[in-house]
Amino acid sequence: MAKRSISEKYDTEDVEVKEHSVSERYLMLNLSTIYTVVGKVTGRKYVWQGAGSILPVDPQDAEHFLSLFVQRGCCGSARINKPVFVEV
Amino acid sequence: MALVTGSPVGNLDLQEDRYLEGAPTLFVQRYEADPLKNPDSDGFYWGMSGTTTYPAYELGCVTDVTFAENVTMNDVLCDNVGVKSTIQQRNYLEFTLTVQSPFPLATTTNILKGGTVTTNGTEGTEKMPLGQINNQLYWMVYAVRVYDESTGDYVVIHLHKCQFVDAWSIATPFGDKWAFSNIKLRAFSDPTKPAAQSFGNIIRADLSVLGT
Repeated sequence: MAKRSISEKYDTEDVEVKEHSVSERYLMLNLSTIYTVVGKVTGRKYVWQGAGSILPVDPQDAEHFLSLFVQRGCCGSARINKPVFVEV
Repeated sequence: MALVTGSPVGNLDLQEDRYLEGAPTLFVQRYEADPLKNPDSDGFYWGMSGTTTYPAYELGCVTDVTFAENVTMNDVLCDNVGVKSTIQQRNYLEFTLTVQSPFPLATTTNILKGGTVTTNGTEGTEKMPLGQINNQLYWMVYAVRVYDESTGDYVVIHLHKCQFVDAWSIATPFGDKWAFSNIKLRAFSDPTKPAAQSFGNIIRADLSVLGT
């Protein structure tokens, strides 16, 4: 097995971190709750810790999360479709 | 009304021939949020503006709503004359109501003094913990009743710093809706607001009567 230098190892890790952060999308929870969900595509588990909390999300999961709405409205108030997440 | 005894002479104010009916729509929001009018042009603090962190919650399908005050009263009793005066201090103002909309639990937990709800999007569940009461949670209350929809005349009761207090009960009758009763929103004096409106304020908007 070829022996790698320390600098080569760090270079490789730097590139990996950069690619990961650029491709992720950041979603903010719009509901007053702790929200847990498993991404349908990646199987990754996400846990938002309350309204306004932001998590990086794999773009493959993000589209589905952004399509989630809850329908609210009662007693004469206009019904609203409230998005569960907002992209920031 | 003409009185055979004669009406008071001089400056006389009469009340209006208008009546309010029905319960106000009630909103609550965490005390940490600023009111929408903070203050308005007349120095009054009122209204709500929901934020992501501090949303405004509407209490769903309320009934039996009453608004009352609690005061301490002590008579000034002079033994040679009798009661000459009564010293009063306002302790708190209080809404008492029944809520009939149990969902979402993320809203109901506030009413029932529960903990932070966890929603599991994968399972499709909401889980509301019931532990010890958090006595550090305070709320603004915004109660609105529009009494003329055509002209947009309304009355607002705004309370600055409230807590959900007292023991609730949930009635579960056969063939009837569940009712969360004895829900009390108690408003305390808020030292951060002007003394004259430290508990809150009542605002009426009626352009046809009050406008110039």
